[in-house]
Amino acid sequence: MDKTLLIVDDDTELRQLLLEYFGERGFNVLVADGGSQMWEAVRNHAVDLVILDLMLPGEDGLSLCRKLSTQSNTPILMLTARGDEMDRIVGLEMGADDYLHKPFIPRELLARVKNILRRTGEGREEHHAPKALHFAGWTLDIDARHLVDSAGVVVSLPAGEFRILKTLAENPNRVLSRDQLLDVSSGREAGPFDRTIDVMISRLRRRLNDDGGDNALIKTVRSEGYLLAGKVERTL
Amino acid sequence: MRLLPRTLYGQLLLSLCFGLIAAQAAGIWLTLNDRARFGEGLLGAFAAQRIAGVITILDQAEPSERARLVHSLNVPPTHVSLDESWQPASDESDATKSFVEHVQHELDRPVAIHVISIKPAAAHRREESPATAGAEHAREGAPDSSREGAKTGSAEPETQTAPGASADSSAASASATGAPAPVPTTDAERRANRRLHMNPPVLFVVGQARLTDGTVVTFRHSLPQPGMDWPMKLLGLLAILGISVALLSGWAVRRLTKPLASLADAAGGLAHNLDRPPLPETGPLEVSQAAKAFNSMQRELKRYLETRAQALAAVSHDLRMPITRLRLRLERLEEGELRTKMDNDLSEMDDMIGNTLEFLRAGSITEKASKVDLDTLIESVVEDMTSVGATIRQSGAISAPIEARPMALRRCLTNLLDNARRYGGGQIDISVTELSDAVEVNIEDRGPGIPESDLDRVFEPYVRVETSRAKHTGGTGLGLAIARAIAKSHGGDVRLKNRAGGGISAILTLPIQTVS
Repeated sequence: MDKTLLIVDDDTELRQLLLEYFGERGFNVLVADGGSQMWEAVRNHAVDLVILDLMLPGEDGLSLCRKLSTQSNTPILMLTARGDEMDRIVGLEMGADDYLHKPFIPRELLARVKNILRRTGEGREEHHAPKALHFAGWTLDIDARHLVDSAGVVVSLPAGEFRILKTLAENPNRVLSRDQLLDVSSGREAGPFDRTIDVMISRLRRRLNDDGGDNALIKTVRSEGYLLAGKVERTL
Repeated sequence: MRLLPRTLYGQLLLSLCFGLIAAQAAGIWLTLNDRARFGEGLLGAFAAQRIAGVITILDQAEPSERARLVHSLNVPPTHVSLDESWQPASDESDATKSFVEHVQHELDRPVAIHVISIKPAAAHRREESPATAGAEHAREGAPDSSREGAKTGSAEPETQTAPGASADSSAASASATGAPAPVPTTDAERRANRRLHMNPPVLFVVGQARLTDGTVVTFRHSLPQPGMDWPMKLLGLLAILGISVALLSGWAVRRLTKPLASLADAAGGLAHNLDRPPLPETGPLEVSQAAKAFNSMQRELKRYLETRAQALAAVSHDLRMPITRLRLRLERLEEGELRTKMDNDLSEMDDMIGNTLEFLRAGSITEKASKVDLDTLIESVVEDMTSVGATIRQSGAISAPIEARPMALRRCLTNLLDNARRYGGGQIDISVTELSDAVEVNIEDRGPGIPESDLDRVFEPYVRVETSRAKHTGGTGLGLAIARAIAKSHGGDVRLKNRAGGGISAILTLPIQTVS
């Protein structure tokens, strides 16, 4: 079943481009140029996800985001200007599920949209993107992309290791294959990694003071992949 | 000049204290002088009365009785004798005249009186040596002590003539030297004087009167120094005054100059931090006005810079929309070399905008400081840079976490390593050293280096050395500016220097404790 997206942006051309982009990738796409059209679309259609621009003439995106999130469960992806850290933080507090800076890379927007839809499709109560994940005394700060130990000391992570740990922690106690992990580990900034997943896992274990034994935090599942064992709490 | 204090505080304090104490000293001196003159007047009147009394008694007495009378009238401080001849007056000063008038006024019958001299005996007394005092003591108990008037001057017989000597020679001597024959003073008297804290005589009046029957009476009267009791009490008073003036003016001047000092601090600090809290606009009018002016200058500067930053930010901001659209449009093109290149161009533009905004924000980072494990931070940055093709060798470690803003610091190190990778070529060495109060991260490349004159210039935004080469290697010209801004916001700095073996050494210093 095709998912329905509602794109709220005041830039006509961008709306059109996004409509074509998502339309070609099998989505039903609705567009709105501001608050009133958005409300109309939400009333008349079953919208699965709203892509909401922060900067809108008239009622701004933050205010629309807050109202929408109190009235419905429809997930919201905010488009913000990069660098406007305050907007980003406030946006998440206002009920957005995720955010993306402009100028975004279309494929990244697509990945985020799919991610949110998957989370909501799995029926999870909180489909918000978490700000931090907590496990075994560690805190993984998603915004800052680093670990914080139980004493409050920041332990930095290389980009690839961060993504692997984030993926493992987002799916605790679930085995993730090396291919799955390799997919997430190679981001745009880092490019394709020479290092294998195994090397990165062993480095992650060293940073986490994890011996990889029976009580390991990151367990090796032979011929399948890795899993992060234990309870993971989320800070939204 | 060197002795004068250079601070306003010191100069004000010095001139205040000096001025006040000088004024007080002058005042005290004037008062004392006045008092002394008044005392002199009193003593003079007393002397005149006494001498008038002596003359009256002698004038009324039978000539035969006079010798006996003289003997009993000869009581210090007046010495009377009858066996000297009339001498011409040598002193015609106003003091002499008024003294004579005084004596005349006290007399019942007019008698011819003149004063031979009124002289301070200071010079005379100063020469009085301890040896003389010893000689005096040796003569104690002489039969007629009252007649030994000359003994105080016995050390200098040439200027002194005993009253008992021939009248002619005595008079000639007295008038010739100008030094009056001193009034005889007994040792007992001197002792009494000392006990009463009376000062030794300072003025000798030598005069003569011709009685009605023609007898010449010569009198020598010594006027004691009127109570110039400067000593301890006054000095104590001056000291108390001096101390209290010093303390009070010290306090007052400190109060006045303190706002000036904080103004200087504020002006000095403004270059580093435009967001420093405004100065308190208190204190004396001039000071509060200066503070007000300074605060408004700071506001204006800040506003001016903000306006410029906003303009730059707005342009950068507005470029995002077309870049976003271009990226979406590119998705419609077939995959291929052209599309990849255009993608890269867009990414570069995106980087420039990102860096510009980051640079504008670097001064006002909102990230909170926390304890950061610098070793793993460096390791992570090295790892990330290695994954994009750099060859980096890491060495050194520090013992404890430092206080820092982890994301900003990571950006700073990334920029420095990126710079070394772009311009250095070949291997990069990164080492960390712990100093007593700071951490030093040294990033060494093996590139061609930078001319010494440009070492500081490259930190300016958008400045690149060798533009053509920079274009070839990419970069926005903001990396080092951002790195330095971040280092400075941590209370540290980034410096560049050429290495002996070629290449650049970038040294990042971070204080271990403070984060502003």
